[in-house]
Amino acid sequence: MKDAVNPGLTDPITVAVIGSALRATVNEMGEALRRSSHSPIIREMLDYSCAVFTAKGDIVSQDEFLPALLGAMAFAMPVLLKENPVETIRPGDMFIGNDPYRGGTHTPDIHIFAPVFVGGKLVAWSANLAHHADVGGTNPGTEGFANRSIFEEGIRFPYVKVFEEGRAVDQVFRYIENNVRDPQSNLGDLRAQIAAAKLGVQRLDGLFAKYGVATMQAAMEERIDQDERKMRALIAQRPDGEATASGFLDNDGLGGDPVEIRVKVTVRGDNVTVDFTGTAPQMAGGMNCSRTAASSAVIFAVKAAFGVGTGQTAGCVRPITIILPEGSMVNPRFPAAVSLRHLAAQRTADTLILAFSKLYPDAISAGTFVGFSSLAVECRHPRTRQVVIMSDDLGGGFGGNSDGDGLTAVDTYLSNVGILPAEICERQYPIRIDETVLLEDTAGAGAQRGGLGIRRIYHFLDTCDVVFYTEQTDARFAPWGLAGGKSGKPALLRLERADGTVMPITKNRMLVGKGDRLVTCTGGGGGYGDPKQRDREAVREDLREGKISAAAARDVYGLV
Amino acid sequence: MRRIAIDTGGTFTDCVLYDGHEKVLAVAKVPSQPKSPDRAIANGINRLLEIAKLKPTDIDQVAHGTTIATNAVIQGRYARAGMITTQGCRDTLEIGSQIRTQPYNLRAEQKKPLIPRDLRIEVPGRLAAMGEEIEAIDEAAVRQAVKALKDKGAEAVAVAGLFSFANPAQEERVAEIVREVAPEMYVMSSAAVSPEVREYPRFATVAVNVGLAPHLDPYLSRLRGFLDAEGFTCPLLIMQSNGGVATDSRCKGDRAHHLVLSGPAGCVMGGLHLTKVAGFDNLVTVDVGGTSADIGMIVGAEARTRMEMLLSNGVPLHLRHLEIETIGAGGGSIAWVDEGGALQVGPQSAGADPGPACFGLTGTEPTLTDAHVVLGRLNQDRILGGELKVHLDLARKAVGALGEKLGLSVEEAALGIVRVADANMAGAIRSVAARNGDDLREFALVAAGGAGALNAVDLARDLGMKAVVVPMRPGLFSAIGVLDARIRHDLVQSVLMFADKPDMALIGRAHETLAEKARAMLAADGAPAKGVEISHQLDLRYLGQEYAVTVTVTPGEAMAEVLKRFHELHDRTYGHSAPGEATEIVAVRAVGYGQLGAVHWPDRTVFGDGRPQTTRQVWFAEAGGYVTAPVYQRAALSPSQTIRGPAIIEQLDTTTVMPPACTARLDSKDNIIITLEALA
Repeated sequence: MKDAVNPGLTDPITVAVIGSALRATVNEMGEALRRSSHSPIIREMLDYSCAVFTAKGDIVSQDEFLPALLGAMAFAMPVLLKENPVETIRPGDMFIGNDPYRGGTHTPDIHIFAPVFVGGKLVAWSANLAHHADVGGTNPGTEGFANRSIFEEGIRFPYVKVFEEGRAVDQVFRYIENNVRDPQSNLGDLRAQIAAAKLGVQRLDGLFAKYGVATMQAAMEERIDQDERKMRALIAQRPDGEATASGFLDNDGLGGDPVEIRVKVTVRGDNVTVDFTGTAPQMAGGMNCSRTAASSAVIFAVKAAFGVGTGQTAGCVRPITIILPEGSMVNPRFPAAVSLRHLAAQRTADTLILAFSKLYPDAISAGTFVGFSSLAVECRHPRTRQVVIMSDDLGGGFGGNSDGDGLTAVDTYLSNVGILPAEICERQYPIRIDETVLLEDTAGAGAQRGGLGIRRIYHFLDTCDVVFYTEQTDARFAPWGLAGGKSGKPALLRLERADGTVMPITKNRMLVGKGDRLVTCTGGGGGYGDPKQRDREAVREDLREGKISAAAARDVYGLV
Repeated sequence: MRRIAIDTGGTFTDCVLYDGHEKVLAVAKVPSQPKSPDRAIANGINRLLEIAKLKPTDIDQVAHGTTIATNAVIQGRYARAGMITTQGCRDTLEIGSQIRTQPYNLRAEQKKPLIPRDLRIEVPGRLAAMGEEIEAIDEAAVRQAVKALKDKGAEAVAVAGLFSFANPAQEERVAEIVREVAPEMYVMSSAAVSPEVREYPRFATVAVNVGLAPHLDPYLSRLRGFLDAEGFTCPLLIMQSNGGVATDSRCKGDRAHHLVLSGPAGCVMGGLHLTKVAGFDNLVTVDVGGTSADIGMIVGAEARTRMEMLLSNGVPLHLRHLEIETIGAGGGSIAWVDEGGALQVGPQSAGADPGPACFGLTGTEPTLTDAHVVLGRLNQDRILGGELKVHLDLARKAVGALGEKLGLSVEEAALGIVRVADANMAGAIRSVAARNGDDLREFALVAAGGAGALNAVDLARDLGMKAVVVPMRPGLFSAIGVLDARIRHDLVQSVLMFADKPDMALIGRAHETLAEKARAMLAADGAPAKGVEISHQLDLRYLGQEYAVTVTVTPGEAMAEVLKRFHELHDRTYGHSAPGEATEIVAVRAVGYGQLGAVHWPDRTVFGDGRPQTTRQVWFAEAGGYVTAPVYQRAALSPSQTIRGPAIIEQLDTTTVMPPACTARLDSKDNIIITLEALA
C-alpha cells in the first residue's frame, strides 16, 4: 500500500475525475448490455456485471447491483493472461470464457474481455459477465443439484478469441449455437455483451487519449489504493475480535446429510481473516462453490458487515485474507460440479454474517432467508411452439436489526434479481401464476421482526421438464434470530399433481403435466430483540395487515 | 392571442404575459408558496394584468407548470386509498420487483407500500394470458370489499387485475360496482391508466394515481375557481410529464400521475423551442438549481421520451414521459473527503438553509457555489442583481479547510470541487445518452437554471460537444417552454402478433380508432383543426425480448418497410440488430398534438456598447492560474460582437463562465451561442 499519490503524475482531483469517468463507463456499458439483451435473466433479473481492469488485471471499476459477481471477473484475469501471452493479444480482439476451474463462477456466467491498446501497448481491459439462461449440459438451464461433475454442466470455454482484430470468429458462434437449448437467446445476449464491451473500449480509448497513458495508469492505481485505505479505515474503527460460526446446507443435492460450512473470522487492526478450515469436503452433487464464487461471498459479507458503501475495486479485497481449504465444498478440486454454487454461496455469506453478529450484534442484522427457491423449466413457447427455457427464483425475508424490521419479500445477500412478472411468464411460457402473496407468520418475531416470505403457485398448462430446488427447508437451519429474536420460518415446496397426489420437493427434476401445480413458500427473516419489547402499535399493525396471526400476536408478542 | 405562462419553482413562481405577436407584455417573479401554490399564482397573474393594464377577459389562455405532484411524490403525501385486485395478486404492489435498492446494506429501511395491506382486498376473477376470462368477477365479493374499504376510511380505490391490458372488462366492471356502492369515492382501474404488459408497474401506476388525484384535483379546481371568480373565460392548460399541455379538466382523475414531471418539463420544452430559433436540432438541456440538476434530451428537434419512470422511493410509474435524469449536483452540493481520501461532491446539499458558506447564513461546509466564488467565476461581492451579499472570506475558509485535508491550496481545492462536480454531471449525461445510443458530439448543451451557465462550457468540452447555448432569459426559460408547448395526448392499444404475419386490417383499424379518439379530444380541447397533427407508431421487438422499440409509421405502410426501420433503430439504439430473427408487434400507438399558438420570441432590439463593465481575477485550469478576465453585463452586449474566452458574462439571474478557447456571440433572439475550439 502506497501512502501518497505519485506526485509527478496525478493529483487527487485528477484521480477523482478519472474515477468518476470510469464509474460512468461501467454504468454506460451496463445500460447498453441490459437494454439490448434477449433473455429475461439479464433484462429482468439484472444478472450481469460490467468492469474496467488495469493492464495487469486488477479491477478499477465495477458496477455493483449483483453482489454475487463482486470481484468475480478478477479471478479469471490471471488465467486469461497466462493462457494468452500478451504478445498474442491484438487490438480488436475479444475473449470469451466461462470455466469455473479457470477463475469463472459457474458455466452459465459467460465472461467477455476486450483489451484496450494505446500505440500498440495493452493499457487496460473492458469486461463484462452475463448469466446465460442455458449453456447446455444435462439439465435445462444448465444448473443441477444432482450433477456429478463439471462435464454435466454444458460447454466450457478456455479463454478463446470470439473476435480477432475486430472480426467475429464465426466458428465460436456456430459452436455455441450447436450446443445449447435456446441458441437464439444465447447469441442475442452474447451480441449485447460484445456491444457493451466495445463501448467500454471506445470510452477507455477516449480517456487514454485525453489524459495520456502514464496519468491514466497512475490514477487507476491510486483509485484502487484509495478503496483499500477506505476499507482499512472502516475495519480499524471496530474493536478487534475473533468469532466462529457454523452454517449448514440441508443436504448435498443428492439427498445426503446436512453439510457444514465452518468459518472463523479474525479482526485485527485493519485486517480481516476469514478461515474456512473445518468446512465439509467437496460434495458429490452440483452445489459446490468454485473458489471465485466463495471469494465473492466473502467480499460481500465483509463489505456489508463493515458498512462499506459503494465502490468495488481490487483495493477492497486487499485487507481480506481468505483461507479456502482445497478439496472443500468452498474450493473443490476439478472436476467437481459447481453449477448450483449459489445455494452454498448464500449459506456461506449467512455463516459469515452470523460470525460477525457475535462480534458486532448492533451493527449487523439477524439471519436472512438463503433458500433461493427456484425452478428452471424446459418447455414450448405457447404461440411459436419453439423450445424455450423459463427460470424464476423467489426472495424471502431479511433479518431484523437493532434499528428496524428486515425487508419483506426481497432477493437476499449475494443475489439481487427480480421476480419474473406473471404477465411475462404466462405470455412466454405455458405456465400460469395462480398467486403471489405474502405469507403470515413467516417472519421471525422480535422487537424488530424479520421480513416476510412469500408463496407463489406455478400452474403448468403443458408438459414441462422442470428442475426445482430450494435450500433451507430444514427448520434447524431456518433464518436465525439475534439478541433474543426468534428464527424465521424455513422454505416449503410441494408439487400438487392434477390427480390429487402431493409430493414434497427439496431438489428434484421431473416431467410435469397439464394441471400440475408447484407451490413454493419462501422463508422469513430472523427477528432482532425480544418480541415482547416490540412497539405495541407495530404489533397491532402487523395483526391488522395479516402479517402475523392473532395467536402469534397474543402468544409470541404478548399483545393483550 | 394574449397568453399567460406560469412556472412554479422551489423559490420563485415565474409568470409571463405574451401577446402572441413577438411581444412580451409583462413579466413577474413572485415568491412561491409551497403550502398553497395557487396563491402565488393568483398574485403573479394579478401582477401581470396590472403591469400590462389588461382585464381578465383580454386573456386567451393560461398555461401552468406545477411541482405539486412532484413534491407529493418526493414527500410521500398520498391520499388514503384502497385496492381491489383479482385473484392471486393482492400483494403484487408490496412484493414489487423483489430487488433491493441497497444491496450492501444489511440494515436497509423497509419502505411502506403505497397502499397498506389491510386496504388491499382480493376478489375472485381471473383472465388468461391473451385476456380470455377463466373466472368471472364475484360481484358480491366486490360490493363487500368496497364497504370494507369505506369503513376503513379509504377515500379512493384502485382496481387491478392480471392481463387487464389485454381485456379491461373485468376491471371496468369492478370500477362500475365501486361507483355504484360508493359514488363519493374516487376510483381508477389499472388498464385505464396504463394498458400495458407487466403487472407490477401497472399496479404501481394506478396506486400512484389514486394516491395523487384526490389531492391534485382540488388544487386544479381551486385554480380554475380563482380564474372564474376573477372573470377569466379562457382555458387553463397544465404541463404534463410528456412535455405537452392538457386542459385542467383532462389533467384531473386518470391523468393525475401525468403531472409528476410537470415542473421540470418546462425546461426541456424551452429547449425544444430553441431548436426553432437557435438552429440546433440536438440538445442536452441542463437545469442546475440549488440541490440538483435536471438533464433532458432533444433529438432531431423532438424531446426524448420513454415509458418507465422510477420514483424516488423506487416505485415504477408507467407512462410516456420526457426522459429527465435528476442528479444530486447543484450549487449547494457539499464537497467532502471520504475514508479513503477521495474527494466527493454531493449528494448532500446545503440547500437554501444553512446554504453555501459564502452566503454568510449558518452554512460552513464547502459547496460548489463556494468553489465558484473562490475561483472568481461567481461575483465575489454580490449576486442576484445585488440582492445577495457574497462573503469571499467565508468561502475561502470553507474550501481551504477541505484543501488542507487533501494537501491542496484553496484554489486547487476549489478547482477540484468544480471538476469533480462536472465529472459527475458528465457521467450522468453519458449514461442518459448510452441508454439511447446517442452520439453527444452531435449535440449542443443548453445551460438553464441559475447555475447552469457556470460550468456549461467545461461540461460540453468534457463530453465532446461543440456548442453551448445560454438562452435569452435563463430565469424564464421554463415558463417559455410551458408557453410554447403543444397540447399532447398519448394513446395506446396493446396487440400481440408476429411481424412476418401481421394482421394489417387490425393494425389499420387500431390506427384509425386511436387517431379519431385523439382528434375528438383535441377538438373538445378547442385546438383548431389546422394545427392538429397525429403521429402513428408501432412498438416492435425481437421475439423473446421484453423491451420494445417504438417506430414511427404511416398507416397502411408495408410491414417490410417498418421492419427495416425497426432493425436500423434497434442497431442505432442498442449497437446490434438481427434482421433474420422473428419479430413481434406489441402495441399500436398514436400521439395527437394540437397547436394553441406557438411562441415567436421577439428579436432583441435594445443593445449596449458591448464593452466590459469591469475585470476580475478568475482562475482557469487551462491557464494554470488567475487570469484578468473582462466582466460583461449581458444587457450591454452589442449585436455584432464576439467575445473570446476567458471572460465572464453577468446578468440578474445567471453568470456565464467562458474559459479560454471558446467564442460567444448573440443571435437575433438574444441567445448567447458559445462555440468551443480545440485546445492548443
